[in-house]
Amino acid sequence: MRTSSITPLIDEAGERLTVALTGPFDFNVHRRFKQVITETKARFFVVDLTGIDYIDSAGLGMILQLKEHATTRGGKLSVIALTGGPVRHVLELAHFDQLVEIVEPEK
Amino acid sequence: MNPEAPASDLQEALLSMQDELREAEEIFDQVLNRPRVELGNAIISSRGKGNFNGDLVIADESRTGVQWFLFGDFTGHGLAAALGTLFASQIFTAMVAKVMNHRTIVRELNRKLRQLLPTGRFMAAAVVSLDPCTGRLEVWNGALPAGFVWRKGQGVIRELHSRHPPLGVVPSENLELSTDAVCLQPEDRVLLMTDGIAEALEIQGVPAEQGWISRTIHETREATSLIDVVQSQLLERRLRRIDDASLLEIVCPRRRTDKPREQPPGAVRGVTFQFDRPLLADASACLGMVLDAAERMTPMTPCDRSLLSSVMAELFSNAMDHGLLRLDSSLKNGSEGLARYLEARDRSLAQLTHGHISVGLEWLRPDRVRVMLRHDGQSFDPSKVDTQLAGNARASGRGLALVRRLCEDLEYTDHGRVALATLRLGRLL
Repeated sequence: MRTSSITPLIDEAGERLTVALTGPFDFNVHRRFKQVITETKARFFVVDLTGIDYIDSAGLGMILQLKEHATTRGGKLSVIALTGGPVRHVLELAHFDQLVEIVEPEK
Repeated sequence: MNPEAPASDLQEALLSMQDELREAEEIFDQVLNRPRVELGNAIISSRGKGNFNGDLVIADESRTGVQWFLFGDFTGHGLAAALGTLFASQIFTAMVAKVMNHRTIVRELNRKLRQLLPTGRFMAAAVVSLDPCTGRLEVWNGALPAGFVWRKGQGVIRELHSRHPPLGVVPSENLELSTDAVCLQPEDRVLLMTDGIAEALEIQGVPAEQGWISRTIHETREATSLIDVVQSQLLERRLRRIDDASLLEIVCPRRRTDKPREQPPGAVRGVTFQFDRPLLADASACLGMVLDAAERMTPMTPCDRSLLSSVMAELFSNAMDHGLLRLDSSLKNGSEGLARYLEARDRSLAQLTHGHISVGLEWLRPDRVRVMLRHDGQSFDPSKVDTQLAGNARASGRGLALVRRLCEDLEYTDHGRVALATLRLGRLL
């Protein structure tokens, strides 16, 4: 099993932060994840889950935290997950499709 | 009803009662006369709908893939018999879901029916199990006419005689629980029947000769359905059925050829690892080892591996956090809750001197896998875990609900120390 990694990418205007994850999206990621989102002044966030191995409830919890963080700043969160994939399946089972915008990866 | 009510009122009351009866019959028919699962290898011929005839055929499949049948008829007709069938069906399916063995199922059915049914009411019944992977058939026959195991080209190879009283008559401690076991070959057929068929009358009111049905089946060497054979004999002999009469025919399925790998008898179909410190601290490394080892035995798709990982990670966290580290989920509440919780977790983990978690993965069938998580820490009551998925925007209480949604079945035993989760694979591509 791979080790988790987080790669943040900020846009030129500094408004939009894309966080790409790999490996397991579980509680081990939490400190780094929190650091990345609090260090930026971005309001709009994109969490790219296309590279993760799996997500658990701690990962779901982090998505909720980031949504709250974005909303407080007057911004928004969207999540990238492939339709029909296991991660999207978990997000849908947890009804997260009703809480955050889930988008397809760019081809 | 007012005795002087006009005829039109009486007529209306009668029609209303008939409507209610019809509705009740439809409800019972929906509940009882439909297989709980579609077992393509079972053919059922029941006397038909309605009349609360007291016949019962329940087909079910346990999560280990064993097919179970409860087949029989209650004494008497009407509502009391119908209620008996409802009780029996509920008890039976609950026990199949718990993967009970044959003896336990028979004993419990007998005990509950004896307790619930009024004196003089009982159920002549057969409890049948068939493992399609091995062909093992097991039958407990209590007061039903002899059933038959039939093989194409050979005819009857075994009779399944009643060796026991009906269910609900004698105290369970006095009930003999022995069963007949037969190893079936693919395409072998099992035929069971309730009393009515054997007691069929000729049209003129003369009983058919004793044992006509047994002779008919014994003389049959080629058939595509034994029920068809019996029914065509009924027509040919100009017999009509009396009483309640149902037939159950079970065909032993072809051995599944899509098994992940043919295993020699006694070979393992799964792996179990036990983790101690320091590896215990790295959940994803532990789970990765189990999954890698399991994949060497049976490859799985990345989708299945990901969903399995989600379930295993969740169960592992529960075992670790609540079992070994004894953490309280309420620490997660509040804006800094999760950070606080993780700090407490790190502290507890650093102080942990003993304790282990075992993780097992076992293939029950090609498309079903069972995950086992066992810890030797503090017991906990999973039913008390506040767990909710829909509309849950809180920091905790999502994990077990998620596991339940991802799994076909989740149960905890040994006071919450052992979690068993069954997943169906291959649903996502």
